[in-house]
Amino acid sequence: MNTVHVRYFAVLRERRGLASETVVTDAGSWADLYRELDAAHRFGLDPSVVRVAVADAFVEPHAAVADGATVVFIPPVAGG
Amino acid sequence: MFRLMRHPLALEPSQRPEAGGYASFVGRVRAHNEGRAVVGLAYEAYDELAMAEGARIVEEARCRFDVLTIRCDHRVGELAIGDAAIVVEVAAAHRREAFRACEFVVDEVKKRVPIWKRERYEDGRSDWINAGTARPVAGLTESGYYERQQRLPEIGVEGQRRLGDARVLVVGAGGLGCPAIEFLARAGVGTVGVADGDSLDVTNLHRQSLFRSRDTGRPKVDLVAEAVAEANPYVRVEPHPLRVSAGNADALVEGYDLVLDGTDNFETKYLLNDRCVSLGKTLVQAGVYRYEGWAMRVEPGHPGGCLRCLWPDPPAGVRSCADVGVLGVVPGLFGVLMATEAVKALLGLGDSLADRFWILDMLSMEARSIRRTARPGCPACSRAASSPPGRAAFEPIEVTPGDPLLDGGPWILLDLRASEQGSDRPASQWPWASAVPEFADLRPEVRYLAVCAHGVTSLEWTRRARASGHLNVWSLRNGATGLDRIGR
Ligand SMILES: [Zn+2]
Repeated sequence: MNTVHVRYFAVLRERRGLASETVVTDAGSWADLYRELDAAHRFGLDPSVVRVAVADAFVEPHAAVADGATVVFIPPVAGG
Repeated sequence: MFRLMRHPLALEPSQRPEAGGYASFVGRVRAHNEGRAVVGLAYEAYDELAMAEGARIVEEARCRFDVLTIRCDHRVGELAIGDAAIVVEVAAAHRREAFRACEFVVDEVKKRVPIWKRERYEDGRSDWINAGTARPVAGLTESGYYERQQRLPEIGVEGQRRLGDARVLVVGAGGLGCPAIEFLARAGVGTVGVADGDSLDVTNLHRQSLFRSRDTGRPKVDLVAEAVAEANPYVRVEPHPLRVSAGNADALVEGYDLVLDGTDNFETKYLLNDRCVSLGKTLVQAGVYRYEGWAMRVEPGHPGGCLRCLWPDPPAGVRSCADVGVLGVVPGLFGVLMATEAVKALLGLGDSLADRFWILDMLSMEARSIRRTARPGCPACSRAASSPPGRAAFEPIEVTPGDPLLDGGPWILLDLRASEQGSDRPASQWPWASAVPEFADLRPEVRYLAVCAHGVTSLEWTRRARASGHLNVWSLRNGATGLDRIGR
């Protein structure tokens, strides 16, 4: 099990009702973690449009979850 | 047609059979101005400039309105009370376009054409008055306007001139566009193009900071031009009253050095991303959602990549602020940030968002600067104008003394300082070129280091050289002062 700090951006934060939380997960990849959270909170966004940033760099969603990391899930935002 | 006339003006109504509407305006010499009795006046023009600007205005009117003919005559020389000073005649198929074009030409001529009048008063005195701004503004000078900004050592007179020469296009005069346009104009960006096809709506007012509540219903580009003219008379707005589309994007983007995307929809964001990358234009983008936003810069050919590197296709089913609402200050702040990034790009200042995705949550005030890299196979980046295949295009365009890149000579130094006096060139172990070559004359086997006083002119020159396909040129960051610290 890994403990990770999750931050939600824009519509994800709105759907979750939280800006951030700490979760304990056995998800193998960041994409798995997203799917796990999506199942619990119904983000309504296809995982393929959600970008993943870990330690302030974009990473591939299939990269392995790192214990203690801060991950930001970022959906596309166009508003102006 | 625009003419300066030395004899009395007359109306010549159009006889064209297809002209269903004909509108004319005659401006006459008034007997009073600001309470003083006027007995006569003289108009004097700077002929060449006045003719050029007048012709430009007529041409602009022809583009903006559906008209058949436009004629504008302006008097010069001595005029008596009641004499016609200006005549504008417009023939169009329909009356509305004729009226609008006629009003546009009169207004613009009064504002922009360099014609002065000397009024002679009853008391025997006379006064020169600029025909456009009825009265000169006490204490308003261009050098004074930029004084605080020019004091910054990284900017100075040279940087200010660089901004004055710059042409920046802002697409969308909305929540992001308004503050961006205002700060670009106040920074002295000489030409700000504004593309927006909308008219001001009451729901725009809480966030679109250039507009006044009494102007709802009027075209935004006109309002922007008026607001900027009042904010900074030393810069000009080029209004493009249109919605940017695949059909007009290239023509629009090509006329500018840098583009700010202030639109609120993915379709236009992707279109501008693709066109700017393809044409080699720097693009600053941002997006906001309720209390949060992001901003980034796309430098074609830069290893940071573009919007399509992050999200390959415009996502479906994501809502805009019209649907979800937005706190007015959020686009306001991001618009200011876009102007900041644009000014930095024009001056080559500081670090850029070219390989960052910068986000801010204004509720938690948490900001993050997320590193991004180009996605191999990105269809936009693989067609980037200034990035022929290979690593060369990804090398930084600027070098700092001490950069390992500089260890591998030989280099040829190019002197891009305004004075360009050979005698005061700092000594260096590398030779100075006797003159700055044309791009076509740059030799591929040599590496060139462009040097100017502060690293601004040289950066711009280097950008243009790279854009024209010469990847063996670099600019020395911060200019000639660092020369003695390199090559040792
Ligand atoms: Zn790309």
